[in-house]
This record gives sequence, C-alpha cells and structure tokens, in this order.
Amino acid sequence: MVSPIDLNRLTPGFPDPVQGSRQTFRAILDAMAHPGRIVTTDNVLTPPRPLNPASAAVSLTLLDFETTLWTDLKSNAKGNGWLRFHSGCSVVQDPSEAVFALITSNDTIPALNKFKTGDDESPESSTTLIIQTGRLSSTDGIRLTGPGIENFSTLKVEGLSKRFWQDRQGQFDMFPLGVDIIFTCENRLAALPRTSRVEG
Amino acid sequence: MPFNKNRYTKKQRQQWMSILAKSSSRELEDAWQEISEKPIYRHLHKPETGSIMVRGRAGGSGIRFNLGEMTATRCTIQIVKGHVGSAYVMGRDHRHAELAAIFDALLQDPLHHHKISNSVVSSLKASNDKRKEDVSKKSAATKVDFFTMVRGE
Repeated sequence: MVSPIDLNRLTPGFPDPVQGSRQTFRAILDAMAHPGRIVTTDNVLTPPRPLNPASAAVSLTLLDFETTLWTDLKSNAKGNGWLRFHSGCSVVQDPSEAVFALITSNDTIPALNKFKTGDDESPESSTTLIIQTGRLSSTDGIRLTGPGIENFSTLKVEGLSKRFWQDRQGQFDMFPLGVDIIFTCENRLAALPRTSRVEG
Repeated sequence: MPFNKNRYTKKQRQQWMSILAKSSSRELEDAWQEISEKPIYRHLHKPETGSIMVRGRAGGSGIRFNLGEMTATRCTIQIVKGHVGSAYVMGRDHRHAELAAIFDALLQDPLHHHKISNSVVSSLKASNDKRKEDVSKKSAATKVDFFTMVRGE
C-alpha cells in the first residue's frame, strides 16, 4: 500500500522548521478566527506539484508522526512522499480514519460525511480538510455569517460543486459535530470552520 | 534514483552507516577537511535532536520490550546533482550527524565510493574496532569469577 519515498527527488521543507511552522500556525489561527478572511502564508516552500505552497506549509505545520492523513494524491506521487518525509505522518486509505485530509483536485472530494465528524463527547476529533483551489477571492461568492464575522464575509472558491455545498450544509446542521475546512491557493489560505453559516 | 537501483546493497550501506555513526565527530571532521573538492549540499532535514525508544529482546530472542529512551540526532542532506544521505547518531552532536549524512551520500555515488571507502571508512572502522577492544580489555580486567569453595570436611 505504502510506496517507498524516493529520496533523490525530494525538495527541502521549511528552511527553519520552528519559525516556518510558527508563522504558518499563526496564519491558520488568524484564518480560523476570521472565517472567509484570506491570509497570506509567508513561505518559500517549493513542494512537488500539484501541491501548492500554502497547502505544503499547512501540512508541515499541522501534521506529525501521530497524525493520519487521507489524500487524493496517489501513493507513489511525489507530493505524497514529500509529505511523509517531511512531516512523518501516516497516510490512510479510509477517509473516516484521517485526522487531516489534503485534497488537490476539486473533482476528487469525497462526500463530506465520509470523513470523521467527531462524536458528542469529543466533537473536536473530526477531520480537518485542506482543499486546494485554483482561485480564491473575497470580493464576491458565498456569504458567511457566524462567530468571528462582524456582519458577513464573502468568499469565492473556484470549482466547488453544488454537491459539496449541499454536503457542507448537511455538516452545519450537525453542529457541534462536523469537519473544518481550510482552502488554499498559491500561498494564500482561508478557513471555513464548522461554526460558519453559508448563505448562497 | 531510489537506493535500490544503485550498485550498493542495503547491507553494504547499513555497514558504512553504522561505522559513520559510531565514529567520533572529530574523526569525521578530519576526514572531511582532507577532501579536496568538497561537494555542495543542501539539507532536506537539518540536524535535529530527539529521543528514540530503544527496544530489546531478552536473550536476543524473547519478547520485545522497551529498554529505554536514548538521545539521538538525525540529518538528511542532498548533494547537488547527487545522492541523498541520511544519518542517525547517538547524542546531540549536530555536526556529527551532518558529516555522517554527507559521507553516506558520497558513498552511494560510484564516482566517490571507492576513494571514500578506502581512505575514510576503513580507517574509521579500524579506530572504532580499537576503541571497542580497549573498552572490552578494560572491562575484562574487572571481571570477577564466582565459584563455590568446598566447605567443611
């Protein structure tokens, strides 16, 4: 199942792992606290395609040897080996076992209820999804309301299907259970935590 | 190029990695200084110190148990247009791990293997062996044989 990592084709991780992950964590925190806000991650990562620098930075910051990852990257993909080498995470085949999920293509997002949604005793034990997108902007798009948003914020994520947004509504109805989502594009990211209500 | 496509076997690599890890940092530094054309390398993992759980088996064949934690330092480097070398060494000497990783990368390269193997690895092995022998001699001198004397008549 798990392919060996081809070390000779790897690119480096954070030049300074402590600073790199601290800065990225701060960016994720900022994004999560202000759903819909687009935050730039200052990083110089050159991950293998199709990983974008923001997903790479988020992954290196949040993943470690104790976390499980589900990804749509094939097990022999360069990006898959890169993540395993630098973070030490284990890649699982079943989305319901994953603490994190990294999705590089909009076409391969599984139904959101396939992931861990947590349970009533520990709703925090749900999957956090990192979804890569081709374009991310805050000028128009969906309207978000809820904690961390003063009136409303707008977020446009390119290429997400109607089914995805229906699934997201299904998740919202399960609150406090449900997945948290981080959208990434180039070196920018925005968060859609489970607390945010999405209006068309 | 993954390692298994190379001309050196896993066992050979394990041997030289073990010798490099058990050598002293100073010996490696001396050997490095003697290399005339030093390769350019970059870090994939900068040297980092952590603890690893050492496990053992009673008598070498019993059930696996946790012996204890040990401080270790690891490093992975990539020689530009060359191989990737890794090292795991005891203790917290970052330079030791770095040099051991560089030598590991050079030894995987057929262009350098022969030279490094003859000039560096063999002498490191000799001094490792000597160190081991000295320690065992020293401890042999403190050996106590227990035997039971016949008592009474």
